[in-house]
Amino acid sequence: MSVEEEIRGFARDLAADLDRLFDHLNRIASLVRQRLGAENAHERRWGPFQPDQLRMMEAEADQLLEQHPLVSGAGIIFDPDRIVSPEQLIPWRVRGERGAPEAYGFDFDEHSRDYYDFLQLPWFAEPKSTGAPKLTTPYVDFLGVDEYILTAAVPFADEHGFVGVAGSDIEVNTLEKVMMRAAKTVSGRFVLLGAQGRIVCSTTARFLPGELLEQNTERGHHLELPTQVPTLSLYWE
Amino acid sequence: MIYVDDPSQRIPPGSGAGGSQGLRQHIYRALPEIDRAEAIVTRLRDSMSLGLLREGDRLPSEVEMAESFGVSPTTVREALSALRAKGLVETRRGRSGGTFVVSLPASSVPLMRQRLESMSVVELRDMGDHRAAVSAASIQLAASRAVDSDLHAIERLVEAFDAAEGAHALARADSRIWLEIAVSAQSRRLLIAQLHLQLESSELLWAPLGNPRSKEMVMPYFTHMIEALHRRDRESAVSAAAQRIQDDTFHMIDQKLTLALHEGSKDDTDVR
Repeated sequence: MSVEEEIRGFARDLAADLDRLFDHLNRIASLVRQRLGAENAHERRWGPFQPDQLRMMEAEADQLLEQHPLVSGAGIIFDPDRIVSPEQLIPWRVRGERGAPEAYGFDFDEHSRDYYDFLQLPWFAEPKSTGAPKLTTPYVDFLGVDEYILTAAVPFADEHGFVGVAGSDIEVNTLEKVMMRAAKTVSGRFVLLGAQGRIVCSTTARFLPGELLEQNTERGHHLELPTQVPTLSLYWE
Repeated sequence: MIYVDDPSQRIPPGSGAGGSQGLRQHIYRALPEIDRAEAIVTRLRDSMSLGLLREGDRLPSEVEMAESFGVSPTTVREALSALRAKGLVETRRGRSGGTFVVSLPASSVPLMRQRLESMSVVELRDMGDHRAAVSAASIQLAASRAVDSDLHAIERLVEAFDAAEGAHALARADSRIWLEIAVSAQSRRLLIAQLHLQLESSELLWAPLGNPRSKEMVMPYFTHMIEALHRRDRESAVSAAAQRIQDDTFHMIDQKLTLALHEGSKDDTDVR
């Protein structure tokens, strides 16, 4: 197999994983919209959610965590303008120390130093304005989970408009592990890129994660991952 | 994952980086949640490697350590028992009893290899960025603040580094230079930040894995830094320090990639 074929094989595998993840987020988004939307029909603001409704969202997030090893955290993020109780803004689940899912609490007190203001963050703002799913470029999630992650988000809406997103986080560390494993069978060196050419991970110290791929890279090859939603791309020389 | 430094922990003025009691207390600062017993073992072991804990030193009591690490006494006991099993500490009973450092850790290749495998490239890059930031700030201040005796101290440490042989001695000598630069910057905070970074990175940087970091490659940077400090040339001092650290980062990432791509690593099973 040529290096290019090996890299294309890797791209297909990773694309399939990401497609499965977005399919799953789509299912959760429509489930939440159907179930909670029906129970909150005719009200602009949803909630406050009942314990069984919160449990339903938790169970969905836990199942997603279980089925997608790439994912470190998952849940629903509501638009603060669309729900009644601010403390129910982000029913979010993460992998606990022993791997079992557990709740993750965010700080929603506007006056607190650790207040998590996510309204302008790309994983929320973009799906809200475009109505389309989104995979972000890597970012340090300060005051969120405080990790270096990418976020996948799928928006959902009712007749009043945007309600929130079903989201999941992928740690760059985890993505790197997956890539390193796959890279053992690829004879050439390659780089995984997020939007705007930010390097997510690479198999050569010439390209460091977090930096932007330099401009003089015309002689290399670029390949968009063949995913339904635009996600990542590969670069190699 | 924020751990708070206790502002009451003071370094006595003029005590230097090596033996100060205040600085040593930082060895016992609070830990992140994960693998606490193991983290205590690593912290104490690294402190011994850097010469902050020496043979014959008595560790604080289990209760004191439990309090300053922010863990249960059981976790401290677990860590101490691991250190005893490695032959690094010994617990004696009686009035003058306690737990003592009895030998210094030899550079353990399997341990370093395991540590390098468990860190991601992103983490190594980030550690390098942090080192570059702290070290550049320190040397910039040192260039304007250091007096002759400070420069002599740094020069002597560079000579010691030049004479050092073996991964362990090189790691310790290299760390001492960076700590002394922070001392010359007259900044307690930069010194503490540098100490944490050195505890984390130094053994890993000099680990005799594959193609180890070479002293001969590093020496010209130190020579350049010292010349710049003498001229009080801040830009040139910063540039030499930054290049040196960038080289270190590339070296560690290269080692990491070589391990990850060319050999079967054992921690593969937790993903997919």
